[in-house]
Amino acid sequence: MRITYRRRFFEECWRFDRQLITSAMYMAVLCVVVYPLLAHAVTEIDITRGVVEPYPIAITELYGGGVNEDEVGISIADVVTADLERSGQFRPIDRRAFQQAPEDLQLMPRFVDWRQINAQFLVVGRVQLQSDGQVRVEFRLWDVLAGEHLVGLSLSTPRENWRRIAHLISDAIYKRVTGEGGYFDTRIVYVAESGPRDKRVKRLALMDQDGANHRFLTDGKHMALTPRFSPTLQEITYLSYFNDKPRVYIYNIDTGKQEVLGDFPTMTIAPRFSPDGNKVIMSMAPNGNSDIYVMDLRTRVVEKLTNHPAIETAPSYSPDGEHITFESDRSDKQQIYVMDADPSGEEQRISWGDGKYATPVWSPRGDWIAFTNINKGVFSIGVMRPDGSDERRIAKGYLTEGPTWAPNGRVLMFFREDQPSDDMAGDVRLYSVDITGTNEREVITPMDASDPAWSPLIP
Amino acid sequence: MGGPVIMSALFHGVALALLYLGLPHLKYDELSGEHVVVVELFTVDERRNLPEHSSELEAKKELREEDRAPGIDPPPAPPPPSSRNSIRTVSTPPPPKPAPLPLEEELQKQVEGVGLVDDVEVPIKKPNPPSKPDPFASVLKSVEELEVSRVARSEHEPEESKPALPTKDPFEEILARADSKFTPDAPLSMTELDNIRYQIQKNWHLPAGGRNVQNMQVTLRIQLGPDGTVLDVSVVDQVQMKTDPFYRAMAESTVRAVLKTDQIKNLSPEKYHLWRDMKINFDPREMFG
Repeated sequence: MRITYRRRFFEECWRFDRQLITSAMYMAVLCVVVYPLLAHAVTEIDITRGVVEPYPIAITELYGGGVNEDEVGISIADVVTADLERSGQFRPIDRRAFQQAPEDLQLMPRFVDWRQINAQFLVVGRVQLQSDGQVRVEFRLWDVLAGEHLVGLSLSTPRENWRRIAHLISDAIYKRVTGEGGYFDTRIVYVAESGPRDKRVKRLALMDQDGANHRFLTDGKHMALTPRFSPTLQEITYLSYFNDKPRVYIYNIDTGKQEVLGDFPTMTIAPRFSPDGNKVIMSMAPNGNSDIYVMDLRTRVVEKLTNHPAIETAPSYSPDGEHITFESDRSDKQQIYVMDADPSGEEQRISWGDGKYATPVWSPRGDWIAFTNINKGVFSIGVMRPDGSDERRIAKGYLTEGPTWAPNGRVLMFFREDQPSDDMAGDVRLYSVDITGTNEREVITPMDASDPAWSPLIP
Repeated sequence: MGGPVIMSALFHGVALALLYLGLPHLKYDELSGEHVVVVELFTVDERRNLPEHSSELEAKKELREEDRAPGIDPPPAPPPPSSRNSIRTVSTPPPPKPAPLPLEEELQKQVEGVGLVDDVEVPIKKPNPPSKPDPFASVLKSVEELEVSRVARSEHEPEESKPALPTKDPFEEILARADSKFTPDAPLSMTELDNIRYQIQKNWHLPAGGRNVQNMQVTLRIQLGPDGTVLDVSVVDQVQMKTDPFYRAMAESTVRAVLKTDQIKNLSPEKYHLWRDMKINFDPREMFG
């Protein structure tokens, strides 16, 4: 009996399905006939041009409700304003044009007031000082034109750490609007230079990407060169000469400890971390001929990757760790090559323009390789695709070199030395530039600065 | 019993597979092949195609006002300086315009606040002002092109410094040539399409420099009221909108362009059925050369 019921039930189901199939077929035929008629009725317009201008954004002071809270709120708003303005992607609007006070923005903003001053985005927030010395910051980003809430965050930190909160807010805004990761909560390590040309003191210095919290990492007794950040940890690898011997060091920023990675008997230059932070790639010349080597940081085993009588140097990993770009003079002049990240990898030349190509650096986004070009005595920073296509120059100068990528692969930093006069050395300064070749800005440092390296986002 | 069960299960499986594989393709019009020559086919009317009784004089007047400053938004009204505790309304007579915020000073203040070790004296330097945008064909700039452009501009500067002669409004010229015979079912003319295109594209802030932005195309569906006011705007490809942050940034920039336009002007009310529901395709490939 139960079997009969079950059988009848499934037969009914199948009958229903067949009706459904028939209906679906009729609907499909109807759609095929009607859809083109409906589609034809809609007017289509193609827009192929827009404007490339920064987004107007209103960044209000974060509301505190007390003198101390207001002070922190204003400071955070100032840092966020400076971050976003410096990115070139945003144009902060003068706060004196605002028609709503910060305390009135804690609920729903009056969007019509913000549209009147042509704001496309609105940043509001509040600050609370807590009894344990922590500061709690809430912020919201509004789309003024759509009247929509885009992103909101609540962050707590010790009060003296308020600058990081500001950078995190800037990162959240940048990411939500542009779709790319932010780069404001990052640091820059560079070589601080001082003294006359023949007795130049070079020591490592560290600062936030906006120039704040500047400090020196080495005392200058031994020359420090080519600092590079680990992509995963707050560690720096750099080269220093100790008793005229090159040594590769690893310096931990959080603990202040440093260890010698290797005491290399021969010329060793350009150490750089692999994307997973487990290896360091560099060039060494054990027999007088420079080749690319990689050292596993866990086992300290060194492996030779290139084997060519020419000079191979300045290696840099692709973000997936599968490939390496480097420079070589095997075709008479320095050119850029790409190879698989293993000793048997095929090496392919990708630079074919005029002049010499040097210091290739793979973008964290993977879509560009930045390089230095020297042509008829003129230095420039350029970018090209990993296959060598779409080559462009984005900065130029008397002595312009050493590109390093922001962690979002959108902004580059480099250094430029001004032409020296009769007996005076030219100023050496750091600059940042957008990958589009616009928005070049000087990065303020207390003294001459060269060879910058950009950190990953601070964890 | 087994037969109907298997058939039912098969049917449901096939139906689900069809839904999963078939539905997204209704939204895509992907072109395959590496060397595609894009040919844009318009179904437009060459003539203006407006009835004689339409408010032509009014439209001309509005067009003249619009086109005096092409590509530039009218500057915002000078904002009244408001204290932090008071809210001023627009009807308040505007006092003298406040001086612009000195951003250089703000940056200097930041540097002054930097805590330095070793008592290093910080020379306060003025950061370079942002480089001026140049009207290149491509948004990806090269410093070599920049120099060529500068030279070219300096050569033409004396000519540019001469007072510009009043030029004739291109829209007005076209309107003057227009045929007054009205056909309600004819598609929008090229002039009318250009009018809509111009009003939206001047508000489109392209997110140049984003990953693969040169290969992204966004299609919006917009609904307009009888006076040209934007009633609704939506991104057609909601799937990519939710999965690709770069596409979302690009799509949101196009939505903002339409919302900022707010009201599309100089539309013929007699053709409301043609422009009340439109598809707008944003394709920035041309801008990247």
